[in-house]
Amino acid sequence: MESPILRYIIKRFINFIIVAFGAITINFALPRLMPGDPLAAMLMEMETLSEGVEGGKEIIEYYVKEFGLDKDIFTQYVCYLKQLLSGDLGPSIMAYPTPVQDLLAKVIPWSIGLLLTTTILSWIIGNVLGVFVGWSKKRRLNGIITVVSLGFSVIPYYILALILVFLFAYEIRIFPSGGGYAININPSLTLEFIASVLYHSLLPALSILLVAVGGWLISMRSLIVSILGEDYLLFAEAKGLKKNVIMMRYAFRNALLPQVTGLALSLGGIVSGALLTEQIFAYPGVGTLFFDAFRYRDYNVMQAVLLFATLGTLGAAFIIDILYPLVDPRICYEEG
Amino acid sequence: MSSKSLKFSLTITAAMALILLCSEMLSMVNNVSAQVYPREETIIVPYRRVSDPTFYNFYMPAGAWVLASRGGRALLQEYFFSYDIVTGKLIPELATGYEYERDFSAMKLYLRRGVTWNDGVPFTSKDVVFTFNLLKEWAPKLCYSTLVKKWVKEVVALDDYTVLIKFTKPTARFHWLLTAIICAAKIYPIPEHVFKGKDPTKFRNWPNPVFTGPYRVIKSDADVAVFERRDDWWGIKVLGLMPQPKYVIYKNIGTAEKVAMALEKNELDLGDMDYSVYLAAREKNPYLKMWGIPTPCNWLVDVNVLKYPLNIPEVRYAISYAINRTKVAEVMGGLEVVTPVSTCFPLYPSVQKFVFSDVLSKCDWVLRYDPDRSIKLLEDLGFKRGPDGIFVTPNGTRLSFEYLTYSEPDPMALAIRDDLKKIGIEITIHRVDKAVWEDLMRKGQYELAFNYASSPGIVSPYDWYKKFHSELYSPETPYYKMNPWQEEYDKLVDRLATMRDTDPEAAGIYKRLLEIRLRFLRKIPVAARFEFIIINEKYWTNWPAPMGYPGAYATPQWWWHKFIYALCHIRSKVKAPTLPPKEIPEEIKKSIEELSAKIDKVSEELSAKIAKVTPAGYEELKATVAKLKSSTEELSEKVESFSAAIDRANMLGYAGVGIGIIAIVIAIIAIARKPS
Repeated sequence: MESPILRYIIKRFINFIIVAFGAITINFALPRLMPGDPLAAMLMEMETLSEGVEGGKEIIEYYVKEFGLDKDIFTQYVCYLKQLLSGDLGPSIMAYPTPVQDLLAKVIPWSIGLLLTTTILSWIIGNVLGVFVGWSKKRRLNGIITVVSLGFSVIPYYILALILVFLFAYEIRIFPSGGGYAININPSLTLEFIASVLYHSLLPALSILLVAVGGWLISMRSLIVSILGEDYLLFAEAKGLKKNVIMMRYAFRNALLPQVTGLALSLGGIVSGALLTEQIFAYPGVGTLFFDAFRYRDYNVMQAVLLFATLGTLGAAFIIDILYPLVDPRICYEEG
Repeated sequence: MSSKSLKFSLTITAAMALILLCSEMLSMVNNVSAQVYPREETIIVPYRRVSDPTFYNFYMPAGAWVLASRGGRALLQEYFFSYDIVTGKLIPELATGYEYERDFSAMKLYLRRGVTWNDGVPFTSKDVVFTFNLLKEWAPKLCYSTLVKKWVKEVVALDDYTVLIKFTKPTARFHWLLTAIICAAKIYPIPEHVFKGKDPTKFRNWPNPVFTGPYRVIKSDADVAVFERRDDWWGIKVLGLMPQPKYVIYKNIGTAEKVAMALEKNELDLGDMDYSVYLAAREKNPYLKMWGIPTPCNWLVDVNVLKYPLNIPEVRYAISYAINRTKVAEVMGGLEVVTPVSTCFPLYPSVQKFVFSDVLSKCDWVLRYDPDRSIKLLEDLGFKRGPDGIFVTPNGTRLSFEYLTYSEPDPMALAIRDDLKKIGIEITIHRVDKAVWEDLMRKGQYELAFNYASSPGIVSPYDWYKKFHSELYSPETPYYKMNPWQEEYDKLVDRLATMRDTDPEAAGIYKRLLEIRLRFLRKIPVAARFEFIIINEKYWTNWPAPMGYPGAYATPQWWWHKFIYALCHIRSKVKAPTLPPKEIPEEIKKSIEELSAKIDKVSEELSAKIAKVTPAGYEELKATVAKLKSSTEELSEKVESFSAAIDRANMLGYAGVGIGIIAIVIAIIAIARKPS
């Protein structure tokens, strides 16, 4: 007898493949739909470097062929798929001949490190505070927490980040103003380097945390409030269970399910980096790479970053789909 | 102890341990940072991020980006010549001079002796020959290789320090390709012993990149590059130059606001900010001062002469007459910082001498603000104003154009829009991303556009005029077809290629070319801006004065090649200057050479005599030498023990003084505490 679990997984996987294929196609098309020509940008850069480029025509012709831009769009697409299947993301246009995967390999760990930590931390803090605020009867305290969190979440991120930099990096001077680690340290697995990385990530992480916590708090609070009147909570109280136990085992656990989905989708998006954070704090992540690629119309890098971001989100959704029945026993694989 | 108080105690203990750990890590990080790059020995400048920071082959796009983004041009790469736009002089660097053949079919390049790569290998003509041959062989894959392929037929090393470059066609201007006029030169030498046998399209010249420049790279990340001065740099002995900062750091600070904050807090020595921000920052930090130079790239309005009715010269003249350049300068920041201009040439004396006032008088649409004249020109063409005041051509085309720009905001566009509205021309400002602007300009998909005069001919207007030769236009933008004087223009430019600017014939040709450009008027000059940077004199002083002022000697723009000269002139406000070793005067050098020759002669004679000495005599001589040697050793030991004794005596002396002081203090305390 065919296992319902296997059938479920296969069905979800097929969905994943179909959606991924669509996403790859869109990733290919999007940069090409943008106005602007990567080779014009490259030539303009060379002109700015030193007073004009004679022979610019030959340079453009060579690089058009090199990047396959002389072929029709369908052929380019087929070549792109073939390259992807062999794991080749092509060379960067703005940093030719450096392969795109080399550029990505340098920046992805930074984005993942920073965003993974801050996403999980903000999720935990937001949900814990949300439970407290939703469950507790202390109106004044609840109000303060809610207002402060909401306040941080609606401040434009750019402004908040600059305020934090101004206060803690320039006025009070307890954090560095930017960078991934101290200038004089080389990346290595030493305590010194790790300490430096942690120290430099504190301010960017704080800026992301302050904004993200509010969102999780509000949603968790809403979920708790909606659960408060449920019969099973009344029953648990009638059984004589302690308030804390009811809050954690019944209310929180039920409210957590949608939050887990949200977390999974957020985690899936961390590979795309945090553009504003990285720009303001000069943090060496994927967002900055994408920003440069966008400025110079580097199709290959843009495609790669978008691909990773898309696959990350799709992958996270796929994993959640598989794991959800385990988290919520009410959902069974048969229904899937 | 109850479980609650136990939990509380454990929590407090854990919190304190965490705080201790964090502060320990913090102090570890802070102390290390402070030690290695002392502020009084370091220059810190802001610059952009680089995606691939370890690509130091500057002839590939990835390397060109590294070159442009951080100190490669000033600190690593040296050029045959550089050009000082402040003083207008050609500065010999890796080459000491050049000499053209009479018919300009070839050029001899004289290399400087005593130059070495940073790995100690001498720089000679074989490096230059190798570079040219490599560029020719790999054209067009390497940056600027197409130039070499176009102009160079053959390169021959006549000796270690002389290179003969034979051209494909006569040219009197090849040396400018070897000169760093503003940022960098197009052609520069690479080390043969490093690049030979490598694929130059993939070779990174990393780690330990080899250059001749005065600094070496000790760290290169995406967001920061650190350079350390080479105390074995050839220029110290040969040129008597000594860059003062031991370290130079190019750092990606982030946004413009952060650069301004960093300048205010003395974390940067150079930077840029808006004029209004500078005025506010200066109130808080008096170390900040502004340094300005007319930018080499004047602003202009680019006209697409392929579109009707912009293809009619009188329409272009009308537009030019209608632009109030003084008002534009005022809205762009004021006449102190922006200057109205009549040509696309920068305000540098070397090129302004080719802006002829009699030509300008003939083509006064670039000189005068005369909206009435604009209206008359349009009316003379048979255009009539519509009910909305906008002119309409006889075939019904409204004089309504799209003005393409990428600046945000663009006060110049707004001022021009208002000016043109007054004379019955409507402008719609269309702002796009810079990359899009570049693309649309390249494809000719615009009507009017903001532009700047890129490569405007800083040392010679020839470079500017050459850009409009018909052979350099792309098929998408055949503007030259609309120029009725294009054939004459091409011939004049070809003629100029074979002569110097100082030749008597050149002035007349330049005059005619200026007139043709102004009559064709595809680019309407508007204004020249001053390029400002902010200098922070908290740690370093003696920065160059702005152009035209006493003390002007170089440019402190840290992305220009000549930044190195500024680094040689500045002085630390804390440390004494590092001076190059004094050069031995010529007469003494000569005396040393003569003495050396004499010693060689005596040594030869002595060797000849020794050869005639008998074995017995030789043994006696050997014994005498051995005795002399042991006496010398004994003397040396005595001197050492004497100096050690002096040291001990000194130590004893110091110890004695210390004990004496302590004894005095104890005595004072004892007396003070003695009950009265």
